[in-house]
Amino acid sequence: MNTNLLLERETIGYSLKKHKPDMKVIIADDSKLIRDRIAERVKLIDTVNVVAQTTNSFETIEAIIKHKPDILLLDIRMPEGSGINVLKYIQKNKTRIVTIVVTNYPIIQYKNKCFELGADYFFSKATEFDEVFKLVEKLAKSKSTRNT
Amino acid sequence: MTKILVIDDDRINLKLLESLLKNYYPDYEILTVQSGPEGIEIAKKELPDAIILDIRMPDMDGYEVCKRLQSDEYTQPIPVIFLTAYVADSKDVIRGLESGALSFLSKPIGKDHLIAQVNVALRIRMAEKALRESERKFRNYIESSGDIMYVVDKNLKFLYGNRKYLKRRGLTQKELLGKEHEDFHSDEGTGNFMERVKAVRESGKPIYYEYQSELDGRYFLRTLSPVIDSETKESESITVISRDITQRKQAEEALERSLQQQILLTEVSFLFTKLGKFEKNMNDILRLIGEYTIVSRVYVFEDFNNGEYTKNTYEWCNKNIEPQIDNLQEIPYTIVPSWKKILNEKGMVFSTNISELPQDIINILEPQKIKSILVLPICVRNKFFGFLGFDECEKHRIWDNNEIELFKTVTNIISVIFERKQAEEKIKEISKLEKKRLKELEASYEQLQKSQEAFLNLMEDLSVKIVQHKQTEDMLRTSERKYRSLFENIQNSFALHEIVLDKNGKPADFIFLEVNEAFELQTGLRKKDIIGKKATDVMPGIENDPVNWIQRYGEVVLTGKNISFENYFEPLKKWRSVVVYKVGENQFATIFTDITERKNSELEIKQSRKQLRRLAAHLEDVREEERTIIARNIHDELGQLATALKMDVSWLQKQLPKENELWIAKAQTISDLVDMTSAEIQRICSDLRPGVLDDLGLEDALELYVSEYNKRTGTVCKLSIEYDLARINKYLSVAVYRMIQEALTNVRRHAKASKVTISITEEDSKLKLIIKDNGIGIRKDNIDDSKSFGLIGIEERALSMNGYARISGKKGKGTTLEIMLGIRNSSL
Repeated sequence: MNTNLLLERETIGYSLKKHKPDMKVIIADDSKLIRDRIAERVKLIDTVNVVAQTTNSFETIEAIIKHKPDILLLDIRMPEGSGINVLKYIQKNKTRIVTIVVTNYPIIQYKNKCFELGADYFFSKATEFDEVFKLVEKLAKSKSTRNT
Repeated sequence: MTKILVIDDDRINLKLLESLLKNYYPDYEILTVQSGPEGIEIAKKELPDAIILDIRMPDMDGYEVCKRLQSDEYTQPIPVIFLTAYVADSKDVIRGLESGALSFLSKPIGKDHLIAQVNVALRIRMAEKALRESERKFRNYIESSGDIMYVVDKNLKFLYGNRKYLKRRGLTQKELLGKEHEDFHSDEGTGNFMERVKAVRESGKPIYYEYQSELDGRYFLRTLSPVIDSETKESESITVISRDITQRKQAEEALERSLQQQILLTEVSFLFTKLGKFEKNMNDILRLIGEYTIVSRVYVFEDFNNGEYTKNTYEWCNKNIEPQIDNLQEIPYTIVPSWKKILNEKGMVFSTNISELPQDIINILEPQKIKSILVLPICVRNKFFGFLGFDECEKHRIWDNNEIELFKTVTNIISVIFERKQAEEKIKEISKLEKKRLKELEASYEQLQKSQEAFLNLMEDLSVKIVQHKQTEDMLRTSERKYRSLFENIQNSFALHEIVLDKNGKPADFIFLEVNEAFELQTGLRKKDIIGKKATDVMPGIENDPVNWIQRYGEVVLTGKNISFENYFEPLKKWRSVVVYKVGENQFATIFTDITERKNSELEIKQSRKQLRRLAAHLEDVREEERTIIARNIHDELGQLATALKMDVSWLQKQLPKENELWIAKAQTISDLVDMTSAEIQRICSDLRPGVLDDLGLEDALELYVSEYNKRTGTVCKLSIEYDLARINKYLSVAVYRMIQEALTNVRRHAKASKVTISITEEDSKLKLIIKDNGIGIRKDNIDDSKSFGLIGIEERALSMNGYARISGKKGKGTTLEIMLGIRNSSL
């Protein structure tokens, strides 16, 4: 029994070493429903490590400082300070991070504003959901290639 | 401090043990006594943590000492170690242990052996103390908790109840024990409880539920938790903890009520600001209040005949309630003398059971089958005007304070409505009266001229027809009398003057030729003091008066053109209108009309308009706030739900087997429906309150709105902004956005335009909005039409923000709306 456990643990350790999740992702969205779904999909990409899930701009900025993530999946309309504030923070501090805006309001005014504030990608939450994951997957792949 | 008591009659033994223990436990207190009774005494006083007891002692042997210690509540838990000098047989050992000792040691005893035994004793003692302490703490917590707690066994028999529970039931612990749940609760309550207890026992997990006590109607949050028996692993009993949440419940109810009241007030106020038939609005207000409060009848009475009578002017009745309005058209207050007295003294007539009211009131109310009543006085300009009343015919209704406060507010609103109505009626009346008077005046003047002509003709005749002298004189006298009586009877002050010109032909002064009585009254000048006199003598300083009387009068004489103006006469504190016209060569007449009353009413109306405007602006703010909250809630709840649904459906679509076309088509339909729902939710939210306005500011919000508008209507609307809109505050932003929204809605509904231009510029430190379309052009009567409430809303809003709104249109040439708004201080 004990030996089995030990073996199992070692195997896990081994596999962790081999596919170490090195793509740190933060998901910022005020709705748990949405966060859960994004996280569920993103976690399927094996190098991705979801380091934080946040519900407003303040939490998000704190999490960015703490975890220094590679990717931020950002919702715009959140209570207590919108995603716009987060973009402003990132631009001001020249934080190195890939920002992917995922919004329920894919209108041109928001899009322009987000790009103006340095967002890298802009997607509709409802209709371009799949594209978001394809993008994250691509980014993850290119990162692990770079690392090796 | 840990204490060890040693009891031994042998002094040497005692010393030996003491030094041994002291050596081993330097921090402990070692007590020594030489006899049993003394030992018991010290044990009771000091409560040591362990006792080492010799068996053979002269006064009282160790077994007896041990027995006595065991029989005392406080010394009973102290572990006792027997120590004996002789070799003990098993009988002694058994006897010792039976008397309650922890262990039995006989000499020779190894030092280590003794210490080990003492250690065991101390450990037992410590554990016992800790247990006792924890039990005390636990009991304390249970007893001092604000929650009600009790324990029942699986048959719902009470095993324990805390103080709070006992107090609530008025029982002692003894009285409670062994009683059954149904002894204190109804069968139904017990049944429910039984089911829940069963559920807890079966699942082994606690359950929570809200519960209203049958005892006093208070609300509790109950937690039932199983007590698992450590041996049988079954829950043999259930603990019940009830937390009183009545206050929270009440707060929730109060919140709900206040929300509804707010909605009611907003609707009432809205009706009040709405234009349209006064009677209809008033009836709507009564209906709203009636439906909200659920009473039998709501009504308004108005006094008439100097407050001696009153009559029912508006009424709303609930279903199955007989209207009373036709029976209550002429009520003299003499038959209910207490009515007005109570209204004036107590501010309301109010009773749950009308039999408590004075007999004269009962006489009036009883035939109408009224059981409960609430009546509040309506005062207009601090004068008793009538009253607003609520009847309940079905039951004895209790009026709660919140409700009464609400009705007071509603009464105030109704008072203002009546005040406004009165002011408007007064204005109408006065302007009618004035027109009538002017007509009279014109008629008198005509007659005056005619009689003058007649007089001149007569004079001509006089020179030729001396014979007819006598007759002429009579006629002249008649004419003069007629003229004079007319002149004196004119209520407006009338005066005839001659202008005095200087050598350059410019007006320099005037002389009074004739004045009537009204003139004397209105100016305070006496006829006998002024006739034939110069104005500059009669009224020194008139030449410097800012009204510039002499120049103005002179102008009339020189040009022959009439003038009229309004003027405030300070000495008498009166407003008057002045009409000046030329009468003959160098002569002119003035007519002064007292318009003070009209002016005052105008001021009152202005005041009342201002109040209305403020109220309307406030309502607009409240509505805006509410819309923001609702939009936010819809977005947060429904919007996210729809998005999540969409994500799940699209996942599902991918999982469907490719060959099953029917499923795939169905899934696509679901996906499309969800898309439509999403779009609809977003449209509703952004109609309620565009998020862009809050997130990105006015300019982006307008651009978005205009592009959506174009898409929706097919109109070409162009937006030109020549002002940095990021500089204006949120309040103004919202106002501008709403005004443009309203204006474009009007264009869409009425204008039939293909092009609209909106321009925003700055002019005179004000924000200038121009909305121009190429439609059919608004007509003058459309502007004033009560249907164009939107326009009036814009106008009112602009006025409340130090600006104005103007609309103009030409048939077939489009409509232009110009709005100016103060940029600074534009928040209320």
